[in-house]
Amino acid sequence: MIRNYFRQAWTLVRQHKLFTGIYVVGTGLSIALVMTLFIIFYVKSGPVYPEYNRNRTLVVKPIKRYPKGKPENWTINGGMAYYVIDEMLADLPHVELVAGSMFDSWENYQVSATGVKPFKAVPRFANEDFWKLFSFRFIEGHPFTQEDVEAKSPVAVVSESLAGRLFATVEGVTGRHFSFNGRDYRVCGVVQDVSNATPETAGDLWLPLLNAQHIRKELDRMGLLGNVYAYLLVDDKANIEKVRSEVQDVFRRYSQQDKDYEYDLMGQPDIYWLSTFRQDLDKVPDTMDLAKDFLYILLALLFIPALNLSGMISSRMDSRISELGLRKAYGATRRCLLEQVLCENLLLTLLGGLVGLVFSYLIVLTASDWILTLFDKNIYDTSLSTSFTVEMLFNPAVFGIALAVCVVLNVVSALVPALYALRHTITESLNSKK
Amino acid sequence: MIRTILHQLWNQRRQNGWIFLELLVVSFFLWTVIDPIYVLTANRAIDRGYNPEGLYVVNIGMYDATNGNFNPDMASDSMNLVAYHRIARIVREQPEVECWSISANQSFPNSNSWSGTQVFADTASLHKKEGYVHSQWYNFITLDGSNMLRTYGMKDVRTGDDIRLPEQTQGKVFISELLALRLFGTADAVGKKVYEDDEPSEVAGVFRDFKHRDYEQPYPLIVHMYDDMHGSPYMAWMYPFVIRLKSGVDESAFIQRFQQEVGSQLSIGNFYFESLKKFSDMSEAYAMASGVTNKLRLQYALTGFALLCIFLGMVGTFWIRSNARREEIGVMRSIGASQRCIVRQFLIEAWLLLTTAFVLVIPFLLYNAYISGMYAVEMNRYFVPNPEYWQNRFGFHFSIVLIISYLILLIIALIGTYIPVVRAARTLPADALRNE
Repeated sequence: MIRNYFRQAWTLVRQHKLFTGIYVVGTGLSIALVMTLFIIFYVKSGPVYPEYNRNRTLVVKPIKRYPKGKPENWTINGGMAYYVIDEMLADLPHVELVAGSMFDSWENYQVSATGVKPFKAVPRFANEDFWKLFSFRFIEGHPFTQEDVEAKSPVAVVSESLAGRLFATVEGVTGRHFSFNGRDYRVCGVVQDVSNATPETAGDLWLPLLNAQHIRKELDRMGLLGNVYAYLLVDDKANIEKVRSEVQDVFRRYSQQDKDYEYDLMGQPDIYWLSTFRQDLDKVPDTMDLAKDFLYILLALLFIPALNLSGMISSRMDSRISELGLRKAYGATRRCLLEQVLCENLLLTLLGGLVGLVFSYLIVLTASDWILTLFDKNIYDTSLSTSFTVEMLFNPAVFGIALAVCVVLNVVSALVPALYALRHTITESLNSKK
Repeated sequence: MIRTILHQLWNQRRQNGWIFLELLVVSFFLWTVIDPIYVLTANRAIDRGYNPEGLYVVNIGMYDATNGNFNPDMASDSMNLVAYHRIARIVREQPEVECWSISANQSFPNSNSWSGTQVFADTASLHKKEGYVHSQWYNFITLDGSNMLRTYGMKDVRTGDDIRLPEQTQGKVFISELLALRLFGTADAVGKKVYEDDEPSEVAGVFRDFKHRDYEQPYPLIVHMYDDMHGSPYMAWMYPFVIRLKSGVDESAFIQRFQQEVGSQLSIGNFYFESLKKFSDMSEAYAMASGVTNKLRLQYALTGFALLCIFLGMVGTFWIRSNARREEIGVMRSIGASQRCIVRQFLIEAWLLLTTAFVLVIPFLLYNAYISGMYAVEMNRYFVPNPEYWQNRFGFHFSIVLIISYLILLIIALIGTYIPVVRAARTLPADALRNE
């Protein structure tokens, strides 16, 4: 039966080229833009290399400090002190790992090797848990350890492409030496490149956290303010809320015993996806506001083309009322006819969906430099390139959503005109056209 | 004719219903999407108050103890100061440089830094801490001819000429027109006293309003002057140089020469040459980093999407309708109606349809604008919008966006109608009537 519907639909497609053209372009446009939005969110919050644990990861970035009783005189640094990940958050119940990292794209870091002129590279400083929480693919060698971090060992994990630039090969690089900011470093591992699409892990090379300037094991006059970001891996998704309030408790207790200052986490720790929406340093992201904005755009992207399609389907139904009357006269039920109309349109919608999906890939790939930051208000300039991998674009979630959008669009646009056309009685329908 | 058209529209209300609904939705959507584009473009169009042509920032970097090139013997404040003076001299003595400025604390447009202060017009309000004007500040060092006002090309508000530095700069400041107006109610403020603390400063000149960032509006600005730099481990960040090239200098040759030859000469003590940045590049970089570029891209994409939908909708609807009315067209043509006359009738139909939808949406748009406000570039909590700019006045702002949306929508809708209709009107009466 369904095959029959599709065959009939295909004949209609060939007969009405203009109708098909407008229909496919209309749906394609809608799906291309909806899918572009979805891909942005998928890459920002879904499981992609090397951040496969995002759904169990809590993030704390900058925190606020103010003199007791004077919340308006706040100070915010780039992140927190090393002490926070080293002492305060260690050994919390339900927390498996406490990763810390520092990223500094402002400073001009230079690397060089024998026979290679110095060039700019973007380092990320990290602790041992960072390597456990994020699943880097090591081509060779291994990550540095917590002992390396504490001893400020001159060791580094380098990306495949940096290894290529420094040593003209990515094999047998482990153990070789290069210069980072004028100091001698030894390569302890080489990892598959990390795209800037995953900004919490991206870098050209990774170095022990305490090797970074301004990062010390002890607290200084800046207290808990510093430059370190913390990532907590929670043992089970169900415990996320529990861990959140535990972390907030830890800071509350610290503030209570501090003589001069109060610390404010500003609603953190955030579950990973929410942390990508933290745009204003000193404000808690307004999730309702965000949701409203996106919903508005999403509805527009779906409903404006749907109205277009409805109009066209409705006028086509008019010319087919007599056909429907005939089918009814031979005993076709309303449900059966409705199914037929929806099925026919689904073929066109799927065609449009396919065109749209391909188009959304084109948009994402041609605008890869900036598309992921489309909704961001503070974009940190980095020289790292954003590349999209196969797993980011071709995955069940993306295909599933594309299909769901097609079905929604189809039902929304075809249902009303079809119901309207089926309202007529058999005699009315048969008389409707000469 | 209008009566016939109204009749037609009413009789075909069901066929017109969908496109009418779409026009309603798109009219609303289009206004909300064009609003930010209007505000950002209007802000951008406000005069900058300086001339960015030929302006460059020379950034100096400094090795710290974690760097292998760090020289501890050269790290004292006095050694740093000596080294930095030498660097300053090399920069300003380049033959291409017309004038220069040591713009302290990143005091140049589109820098990442923004520093504010409270400025009072008298000591009474200073002590009560009220009646102040929140203002941005720029600092520069008046050493060896370093002159920010001349280098940036800031102009005197009354004469429009370059501003001359007074012989004695201690205790004097320059203020922008906006700051003068808000403090004293007049731009004629030379010689008046302003207070940021108990020590007053004398206004040495008033310059034209100045934009720190291209897509924002001018903010009150006060320019302080200092005689000399202070040696510190933060000198490189504290004292970047801004240079203006002489007119006629080949800029790309200059950039190349500076990076290859001059850059290495600037490695003195623990300092090194970090970058030479063009003002226009920094403006673009800031627009990108602050999300303005992306915001505009998104809004343009959504506008394009809405218009394309309307275009397709109009083509589709009028294609079907003009086909369905071929017989009618045939009759009209056979009794002497010209092609143009038929096209005009359809275009008027489309115009009526669009205009009715648009007018119906206006109350909803007004309500929406009242409730959720119109787009404004967020600056900070002290920002007082200047009503001189139309985008800051509700009525003007609302109506301008309304007119822009209407006109764009109208053009697209009429093109979308014209294409199918002109094709249908071209059919010969005999062909069209064969269907009768």
